[in-house]
Amino acid sequence: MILARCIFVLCCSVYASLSLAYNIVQPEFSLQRFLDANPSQQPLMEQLQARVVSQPTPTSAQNIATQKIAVVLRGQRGELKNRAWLMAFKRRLREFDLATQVDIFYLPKHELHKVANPIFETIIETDYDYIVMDGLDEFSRPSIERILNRTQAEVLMLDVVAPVKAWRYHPPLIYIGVDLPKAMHRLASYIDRVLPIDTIVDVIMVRDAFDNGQRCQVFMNEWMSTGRKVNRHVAIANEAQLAFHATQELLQQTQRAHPEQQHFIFSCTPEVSFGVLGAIMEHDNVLTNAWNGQDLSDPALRQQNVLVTVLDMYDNMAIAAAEAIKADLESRLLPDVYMETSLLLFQEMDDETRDIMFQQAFRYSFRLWPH
Amino acid sequence: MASLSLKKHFLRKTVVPFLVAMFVLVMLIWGMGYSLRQSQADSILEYRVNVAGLSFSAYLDRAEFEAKYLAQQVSNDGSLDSLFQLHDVLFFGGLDFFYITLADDEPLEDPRARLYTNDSLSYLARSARLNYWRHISTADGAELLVYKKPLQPNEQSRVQGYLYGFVSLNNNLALSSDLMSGAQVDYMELSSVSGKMLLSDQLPAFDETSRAIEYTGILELPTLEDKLTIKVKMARPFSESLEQNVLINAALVLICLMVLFWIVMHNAYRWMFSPLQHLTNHNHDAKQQANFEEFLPVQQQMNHFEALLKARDQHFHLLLDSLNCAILFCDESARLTAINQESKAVFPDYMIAKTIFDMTPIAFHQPIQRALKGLYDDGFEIELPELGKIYQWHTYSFINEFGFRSVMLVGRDISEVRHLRWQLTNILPRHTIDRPYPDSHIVLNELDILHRSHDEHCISPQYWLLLIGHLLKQISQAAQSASEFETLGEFVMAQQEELAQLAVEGERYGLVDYDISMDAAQVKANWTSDHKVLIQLALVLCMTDSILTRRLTMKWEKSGLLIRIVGVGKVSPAMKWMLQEFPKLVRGHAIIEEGCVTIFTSLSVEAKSETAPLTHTGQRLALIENDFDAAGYCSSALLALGAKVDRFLSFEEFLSSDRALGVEYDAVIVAVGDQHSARKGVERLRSINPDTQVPLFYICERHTNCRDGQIVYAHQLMRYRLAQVINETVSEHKINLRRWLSTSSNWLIVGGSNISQIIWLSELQSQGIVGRREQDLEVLLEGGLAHAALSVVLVLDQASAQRLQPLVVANPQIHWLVLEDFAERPATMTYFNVQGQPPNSELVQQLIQRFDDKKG
Repeated sequence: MILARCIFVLCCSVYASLSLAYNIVQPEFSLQRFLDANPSQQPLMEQLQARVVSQPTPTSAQNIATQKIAVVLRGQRGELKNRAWLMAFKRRLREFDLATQVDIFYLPKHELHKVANPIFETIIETDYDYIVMDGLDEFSRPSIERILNRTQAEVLMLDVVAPVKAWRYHPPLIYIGVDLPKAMHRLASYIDRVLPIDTIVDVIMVRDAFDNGQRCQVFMNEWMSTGRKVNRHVAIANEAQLAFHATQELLQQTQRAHPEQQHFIFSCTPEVSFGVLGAIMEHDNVLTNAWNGQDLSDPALRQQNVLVTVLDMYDNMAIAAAEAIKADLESRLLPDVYMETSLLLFQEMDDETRDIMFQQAFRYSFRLWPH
Repeated sequence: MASLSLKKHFLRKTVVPFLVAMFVLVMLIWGMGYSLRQSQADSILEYRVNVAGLSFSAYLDRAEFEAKYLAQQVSNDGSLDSLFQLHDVLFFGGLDFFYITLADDEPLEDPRARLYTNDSLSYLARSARLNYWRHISTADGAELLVYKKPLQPNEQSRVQGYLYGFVSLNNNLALSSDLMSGAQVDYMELSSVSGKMLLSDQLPAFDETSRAIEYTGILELPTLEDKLTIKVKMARPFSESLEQNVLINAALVLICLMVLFWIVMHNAYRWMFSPLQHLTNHNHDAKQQANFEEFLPVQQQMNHFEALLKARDQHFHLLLDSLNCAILFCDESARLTAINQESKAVFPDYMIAKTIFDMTPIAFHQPIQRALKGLYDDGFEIELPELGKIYQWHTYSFINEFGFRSVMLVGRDISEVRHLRWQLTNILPRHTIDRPYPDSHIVLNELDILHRSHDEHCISPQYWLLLIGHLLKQISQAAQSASEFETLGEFVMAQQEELAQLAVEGERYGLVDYDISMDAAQVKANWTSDHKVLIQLALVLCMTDSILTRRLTMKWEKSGLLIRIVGVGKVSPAMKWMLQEFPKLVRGHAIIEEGCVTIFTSLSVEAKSETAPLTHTGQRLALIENDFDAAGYCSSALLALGAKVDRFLSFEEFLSSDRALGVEYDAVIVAVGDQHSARKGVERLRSINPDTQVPLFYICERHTNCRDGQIVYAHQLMRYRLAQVINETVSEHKINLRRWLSTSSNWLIVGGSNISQIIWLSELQSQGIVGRREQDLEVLLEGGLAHAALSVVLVLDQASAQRLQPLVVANPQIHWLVLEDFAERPATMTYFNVQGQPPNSELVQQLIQRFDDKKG
C-alpha cells in the first residue's frame, strides 16, 4: 500500500509534465453546424478515412521537389505522445515514397509567451511547404494568421474540434482532431448503461479550459442529457496529486454517507485518472475511467477499478496528416475537417481483445504505448 | 419551273419583322432589368457598407471590453504571467496585442507585439488617446488601431498606468472575416482618406477580371477617429442579370407577339388569300364574289385570253376538219385527246375506246408505240375493208404541254392513188415511165424533116430512119446489159459495127474525121448500155450531112468523157430530143450550139491500162486507092500511126511498079472507091500469091455485105480502128512482090506507047499473067534487069528493041519477044506477028501458047 503510494507519487511527478496547454474551446455543436452547412464534406471525409485505414500506396505525383514540412508540437521532445505522433507520421511519409524534410519544433505548454516568438519568426522566415500546427492558442494565432494570409505554405491544424470561423476566407489545408462529442456521447451512454441508477457519480474536472478540459465539459453535458445527475463536481488543477487528495476527500464523504453504494468518479484527464486510481485502489465499489497513455498493466493499479478506457486513435490522426499532404501533392480533393473516433476498452474485455484493440488504435506506434 | 407559294412567301416575309420585334423587345426588357438592378445594387452596397461598419464597431467594442478587462486584471495582479492565464480573453477578445505602461515600473510588453511590428511600442503608444481608437502606421508596414485605457487607480486614487490596446488592420483575419461576412460582398478594401490601403480582403473565388459592381464610401465609426474609405465589390456575373422578372417579362412579350403574329396571319389568309384563290372560280359562278378592284385587271386579262383561246380552238377544229385527212391526237398514255370528223368515220368506236389501241386495228399498235417512244416513223398503210379504202398513216411524236411525249396520227386516203398507180404499172410498161420516151410529135417532126431534106443527107433516108429508130428504141428500153469494162477505142469500134449492121448494101457513108488520140482510145472505162447508145448517137450525128466532114473529138475529162462534134448543121428534132433527154440517163449533159454539139457524160475511168501501145512504126503499108475519095485522109491517118505508106493508084500500078517490087509490105490496104477494080485486083493479087493468106483489108465508102476481109468504112476511119485492123491483118506473111512475081510467069512490057502498053498489060492480066510495063527505057538500060524476076520481056516496037540489044545479050535467061521485026534481031529475041492489030485475047493466048512452047 505504501509502496503503491510511493510509486504513485513518483509517477505523479512524471505525469505532471504531461499537462497540456490551452487550446481554443468551441462548443461541441460547432462541427455539426459546419457539416450541416457543407453537406459535401461528409463524403470527402469518408474518402479520407478510407485512405487512412487502408494500406499506403506510393504517391503518383511525379517530379516533385523535396517537400519541406515543419511540425510544431506541444510539450517536450521526449514526450510519449509526440514521439508516437512523429513515428507514425514519418513512417507513413516514407511509405509514400515522398522525399520530405521534416523540421520539428516544440512549443512549451506553459508560459508560451516567453519562447513562442523566435520559433514563429523562424517558421515564417523559412519557406516551408507544409506546416503542421498542434493546437491553437492566442500566441500561435497571429503567426498562423500571417502564414494563412501571406505565405504559400499550407497549414494543417491538429487538435481542433471545428473549423475556425474567422479563417473561413483563408482556411488551412485541413483540421485534424478527435470527434469529441461522439466519443463522449458513447462514453456517457456506456457508463449510463452499465452503472445502476443509484450510483453516485462524481466528476473531477480540471480548472482551466484545456483540451482535455473541453472533454470534461462535453462529458458533463452528455451526462446531463442521459438524465443522470452529477453528485459532486470537483475542479482542480491538472495534477495527479491534487486528484489523489480530492478523491480521498470524496471517498471519505461517500463512505460516511453511502458506504455500500456503487461509486463512480469521472476522471477528466490521464493525470486525474492516475490520481484517482491511486486513491481507490482498495475500494472495490469505486470505479473510474482511464485514458490512453496510462500504463494499466501495473498490478499495483488494478484494473478492476477501471470501468472503461478511452483510446483516441492518435496514429490515425498522424496518418491522416500524412495522407492530407500526399493528397495535396496529388491535387486531390480534401475535406476541410477530419475527425477521428475513439475506441473504448471495457472492463470485461480480456487481454487478447485489449491487445487487438490497442493495435487497432496505435497501428504504427503500438510498441511505444504502455498497455 | 417550280412555283412559289404566295402564302409561304408572305409568311416568311412577315415572320422576319416579328422576330426582329421580339428580339428588340426582349433586349429592351433585359436592358431595363439590368439597369434597374444596377441602380438597386448601389443602394444595396451602401446598405451593406453600413452593416460592415456596424460589425466593425462591434469588433472595436469587443476589443475595448477586453482592454478594460485586462486593465482591471493588471491593476489587481500586476504581472504579465497572470494576464496570460486568461487564454479565453486573449483569444477571443479582439485585441491583437497590448502594451502596459506603469507609473513607476517597467512597461509590460506583450510578446505578441513582435509578431506584428518591430517598432518601439512606447513610440507607438504616444499617439494613442483615451477612450477612442486611432489609426497609426508603423515603419514596417503594419497598420494598427490603438486605444488607450487607464488602469484602476490605487488606494490613493492615482492611476497606476495605462493599457494600450492594439488591433492590427492588415494582419487580422478575424476582423476582415467579420467585416466580409457582415457585408456579404466579394471584395473589401479599407483605406485611409489619404488613399493608403489598410485592409484588403476578398473571397477566394473572387476574380479581379470578372464583372463586379463597386461601391466606394466613407466609413465613419463612432469610436474611431479617422475616417476610412471603404471600397466594396460584388461580382456580378452576366447570367445573374437574367433574373426571374426579366425572364417572365420576356416570356410575356414573346407570347403576346406570337399571338399577334397568328392574328395577322389568320386575317391575311382569310381576307386576302382566299379571294385570290376564288379568283379562278369567278368565271364559273359569276357574281358570287364581290369584285375587288385589285382583281379587275387580272380578270380582264383572263377573259381576254379565254376568248382568244376559244377562237384558236375554233380555228383548230375547222382546220382539222377541212384537211381531208384523218387526224388523231393522243397523249402519253395513248388516250385520245382530239379527233376530227374523218377519223371519226374511220374509227367509229372512238367513243367507247379508252385508249387508241382499243379502237385501232393491230397493225396500228406497233407504229404508235414506236412513236410514243420517239422513234422515227416511215408511215404505214392500212386497208380498211369495211370502208373499202386504203389509208396511209404517218405518226408524229411531239412533247405536249405537260412535258410528256404524245402522238399525232395523220391518215390520208390513198385508195385512189393506189388504184391509178396499179393501172399505170400494169397498163403502161414500166420502162416508159422510168426512161425518157419520145412523144409522138417528135417522131412526126423527124419524119417531116426527113421528107423535106432527104436529099441533103448523104445517107439514105431508109438508113437514117433505121438509125433513128434503133436509137429511140435503145433509149426507151431500160438498161439491159451489165456494164462492160473496156477501152474507149474498142467501145467505139463496137458501136460503129452495130451501126454498120443496120445499113443495107451499097449504103454510102460519109467521112468522119476522128480526133481521138491513141492514148485516149486506150483508156479503159466502165461502159453501160446507155453509154453505148450515147456513142451511137454521137456517131449518127456525124453521119447526117454530106457537105461538110464532121469532126468527132473524144476527150477524157477529169470526171468523164467529152464528145464534141464540130460541123454539125441542123440537128433533127429526134436527135435534138435525144440529146436533151438522153444525157440525163448517163449523168451528163449535151449542149447544142450553132455548128457544134458537145456531149459530156460522167464515167469512171481506170488508170492507164497496160496494153501495149499500138504503134506501128516501121510497118510498111501499101494503100491502093482505087478512086477512093478520102485516100489522102487515109494515108495521113496511117502515117499518123507511124507506119510508112506507099500509095498506089490502082492494082496495076501496084503490081507493075518497081516501087512495089523492092519492098516487103506488111499489109495492103485496098481503098474501095471502085468496087469492081478493087475486086479484080485483089483476085489477081491472090492468084499470084503462093500463100493462101494475103494481109489486106478494105476501106470502103459504101456498105458492102460481102465479107472478103476486114472492112473499114469511111465513117469508121479512126486511128485506133486502123491500128487494130492492121494488127489483125498483119501476119508473118508479108507481101513481097518480087517473090511472088518470080514464081509465076512474069512479063515485062516495054516500048510502044503508053496506051499500047496498057492494052497489052490488061490483056495479059486477063489471062492471068502478071505483067509490068516500063515506059522508060533508060531505067532499064542503066539499072539492068537484075532486080526483076522476069521471065518474059515483051518489046512492043523495034526502036526499043534495038536499043535493048545489050540487055538481051546480058540476060540470056530472059525470053525476049518483039512485036515488030527488025533486021538486027538477035536470035534470042523472038518475033511475034500481031499484024498490027491491037491485042485481043485470042492473040494473047496464041502468044502465050507460043511462048510456052518456046519455054517448054
